[in-house]
Amino acid sequence: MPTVDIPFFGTLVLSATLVAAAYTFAISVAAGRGRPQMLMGARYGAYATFALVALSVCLLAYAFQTHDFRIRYVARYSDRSMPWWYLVTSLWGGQDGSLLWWSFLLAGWSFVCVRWMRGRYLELQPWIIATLMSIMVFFMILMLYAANPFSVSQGVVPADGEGLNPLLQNYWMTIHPPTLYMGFVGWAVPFAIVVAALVTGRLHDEWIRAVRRWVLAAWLFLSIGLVLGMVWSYEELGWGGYWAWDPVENASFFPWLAGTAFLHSVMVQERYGMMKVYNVALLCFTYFLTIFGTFLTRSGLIASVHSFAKTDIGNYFVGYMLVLGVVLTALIVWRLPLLRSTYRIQSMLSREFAFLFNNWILLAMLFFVLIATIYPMISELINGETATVGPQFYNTWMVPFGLVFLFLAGVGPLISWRKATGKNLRKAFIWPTSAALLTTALHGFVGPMIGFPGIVAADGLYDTGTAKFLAMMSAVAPIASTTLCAFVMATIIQEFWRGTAVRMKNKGENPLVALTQLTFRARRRYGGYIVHAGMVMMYFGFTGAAYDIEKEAALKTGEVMDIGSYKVRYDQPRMESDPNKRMVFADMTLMDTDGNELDRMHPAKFIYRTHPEMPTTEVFIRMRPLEDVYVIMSTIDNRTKVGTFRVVVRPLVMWIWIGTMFLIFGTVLGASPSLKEILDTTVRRVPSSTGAWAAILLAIGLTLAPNVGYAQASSSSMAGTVEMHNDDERKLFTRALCMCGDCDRLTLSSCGCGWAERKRAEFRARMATGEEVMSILDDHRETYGAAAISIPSDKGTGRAMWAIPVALILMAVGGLFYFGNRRKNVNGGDGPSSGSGASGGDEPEAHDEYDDQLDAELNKMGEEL
Amino acid sequence: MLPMFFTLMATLCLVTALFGLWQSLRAAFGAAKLAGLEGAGGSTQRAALLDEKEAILANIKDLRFEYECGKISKGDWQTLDRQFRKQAKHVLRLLDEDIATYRTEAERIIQERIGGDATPYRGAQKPAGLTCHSCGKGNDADAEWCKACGTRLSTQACSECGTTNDPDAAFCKKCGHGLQTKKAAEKQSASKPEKASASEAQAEQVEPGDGVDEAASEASEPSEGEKA
Repeated sequence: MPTVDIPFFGTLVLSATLVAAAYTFAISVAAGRGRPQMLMGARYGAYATFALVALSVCLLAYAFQTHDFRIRYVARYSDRSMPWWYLVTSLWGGQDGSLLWWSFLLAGWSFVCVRWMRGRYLELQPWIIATLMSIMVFFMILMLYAANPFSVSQGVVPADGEGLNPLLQNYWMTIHPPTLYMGFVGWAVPFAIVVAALVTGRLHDEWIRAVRRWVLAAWLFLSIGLVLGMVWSYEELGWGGYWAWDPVENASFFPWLAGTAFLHSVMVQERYGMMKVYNVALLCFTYFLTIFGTFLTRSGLIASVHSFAKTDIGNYFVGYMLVLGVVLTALIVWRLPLLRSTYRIQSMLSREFAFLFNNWILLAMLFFVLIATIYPMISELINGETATVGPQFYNTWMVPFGLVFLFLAGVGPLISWRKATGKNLRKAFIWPTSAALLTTALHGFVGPMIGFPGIVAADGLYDTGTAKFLAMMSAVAPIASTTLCAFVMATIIQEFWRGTAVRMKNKGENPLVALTQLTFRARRRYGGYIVHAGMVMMYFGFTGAAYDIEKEAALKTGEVMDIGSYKVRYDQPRMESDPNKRMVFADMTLMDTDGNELDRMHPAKFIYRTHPEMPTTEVFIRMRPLEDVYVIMSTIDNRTKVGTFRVVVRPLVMWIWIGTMFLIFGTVLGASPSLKEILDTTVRRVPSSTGAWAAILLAIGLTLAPNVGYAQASSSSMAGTVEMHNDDERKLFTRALCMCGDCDRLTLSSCGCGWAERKRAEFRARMATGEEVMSILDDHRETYGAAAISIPSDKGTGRAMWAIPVALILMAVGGLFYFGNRRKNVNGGDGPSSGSGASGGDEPEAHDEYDDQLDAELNKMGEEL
Repeated sequence: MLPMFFTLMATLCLVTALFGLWQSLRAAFGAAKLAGLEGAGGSTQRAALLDEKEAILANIKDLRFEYECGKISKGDWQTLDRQFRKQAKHVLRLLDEDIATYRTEAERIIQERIGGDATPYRGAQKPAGLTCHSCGKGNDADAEWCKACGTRLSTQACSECGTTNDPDAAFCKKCGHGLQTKKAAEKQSASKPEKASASEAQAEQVEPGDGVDEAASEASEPSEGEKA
């Protein structure tokens, strides 16, 4: 293609895509408004749109491979020394390209969805296509007018490009963004289906069945994307953690929370036709959050470690969100009469109520994180000064929320639908409760002996009542968490056991066959339990964070440092290089306390040719089920060969990744069609099997990924490791932010810039004179404003941030009371109801031939539970 | 190597896009009528009902399973089971009504071909047929000519004076007595006569044994137009 002018042709193709999408949108609407012959046209239009987007992706990929540095995007994100695979991943390495990639995935989802709809949902189809195309139109306008990846650089064409950010040149970065985007964009399909249902007024159970697998697929990709992000920050950022409540992390967490809530609440509607308005609104809201999250990430409004260039695409997003908000609200209000449910919750002790409660908790978490994330913006509007909400603040609140959520995951399956009665309830709870109590006792008494005390020391963020209470919660969190993990795990095992026992009794199968048959026949139920089991393992892994041991030391070659039950010996430094970078390794040996060699470790620093000012810290991680040993090389002196190292022993982290495998397996199992469905219709198979295969491939990728990860330092060039000598220093440095102006969101405990170094020296000197940590912090706040402290003040207007979670909890309790009371006022009208309009009511009907047919069909379903 | 691959892919995409757009324009504005989309409303309605049936059946099964696991008391299980069964029967009835006319048609054809007497399907309401006044052979309600002797059926004799009248006459041309016209007769007898005229080809595929499933798989078949 040498004679083709790629920048021009690319822009032309983008324009053509816009036209094609707009055309498809128009004829879909025409098809929806009573001209069915247009539908086929719309379907072909959707295919053509996909092909056009794919064409522009191919063009950009070609431009990268041929180093067409006329294109600004190519020049900025690649260089001639990069291997071909990073040239491919550069496609989503920056703002403009990632938007194109985003559109490509959207077109891909639309394509699969349109294929899947062949011959089904004919009334919904036109509107589904129209909705998908409207999203596509938005992204095309965005690209053409604000972020065109094909735009050319001004002036002379550079001889070489600037190269991809070294932080993005690694294994995880090749798969994390595409997966996360898949999860984000995936919500467009369920959203389109629910919009179609709203427009056509076909709001009975049809759309719920239509969205089920799409929701699971999107949720799965989003979950995997989130975990991959955690893996990336754990292995690559070099600060030893996997989640920092960074605005961008939060942005991908919003739709996950809303989507998880939807997955649960929709089950209530499926069974009892309840919560119709809520489900419709929740699904729309989930999609809205994906757009909102993208807006937060891309607009540069909130300081984050994920830095995208600040452009004016924020305005486009604001416009789109306004349109979305107005249209969706209008649609839902218009259809309210069709969304009334005839069934009310019967008892507070029912699974419906547990689901409702679980939804409250998820939404409370969602709104808390949402408000905390945009709090800096709110604060700027109200107070005129930005504030910072750091990880500590999030953790303090989210731990209690998370534990309640975990508890509900255990209670839900134990209590029955409609009304749980005393005897059954006792029987169901007896084993899980015993297991939980046993764990509490074990953790409480044996834990402290082996270095895992149930109650840990936690200092209050401030000296106020709320803060003290929260500190207490944090202190007991480890034992509460293990207790609840045991409780939930026991309920899951009990569920499997009960089901197996029934099968063994009814079918006379041996336990193993019964268990397998059970799991693979009632996939939705047991797939769900497996996902829960995965979540329990992840919680277990999170609990380990309470027992981290961290130590820093400067070592000469041959010297040994002790940490926990290990000894670490620094053997020698080593230099290597390749065309792309220079690498400085430190060869080290890990030994047990008796000095027996366990492993060889080699943390490193990489200095990339294109970004010499930004050396990356390559962490060495030794992963084991019980604990990880995490070694960071801070510096190595060229002359004396003395190295500064930070070693962290992090218990149980591996369980987070193991839990993820279970989560993936469970979701794929729950979403997979039965053999009968596969043989019956080839069309139904498409979405789930695509999702399933992609997920399986990812899972394999995760499993095969080397246990030893090389990691890189924080995406801010200044992030590094800081030596802290005592708890007071830690307390002070983790709360005070670096205010040099270039280091967004970095605390003094992790910022390596000169300003931070001077500030630390000053603080150390002040502490040496006996000054209190709090007074130093107050001083820091006064000098640099509220934004200089990572935890919002619990005084004055800063108090708003503390009031919000409390308000959310109060609202949640109020809402539950409301539902509880409403239940008492309802007499009758309590039958399950659904689209067909069958009246509920308990009076038995006369036995007729339909009963026989029903029994015959139930028998035919037989095994499928 | 890789640039070559992307060139190829780009070309492929371009061709696909052009082909897609061409097909789209042809389908939307061209003369080509797309079989399968008309009247598809009925089949999606049916698909929705079948989906609903599946869901209720699954609920019944699930509930029984929960009862067997000891999660729900017998009384609660029975109450809920009754409610779901009632709902399921309602859906089954709707499904039956939906295919009743096709089934009648199918039974008629079978009867005609093999001469045996197929058991009339429950829920099916046979539209009243016409008896040939010449040879006495029973004919379909919409038949114009007798299939046995070829006599024109729709010319009716006045019940009062016996005079033969035109098929569309409302009153006897001789005595003025009100004639029961075909339209009126249809109104009285058949519940959904318009469905009875559905294409024979479609009806012929329906077998009396498990019509529900047959129709289900038919409803979920891709439409003709799609295959084209």
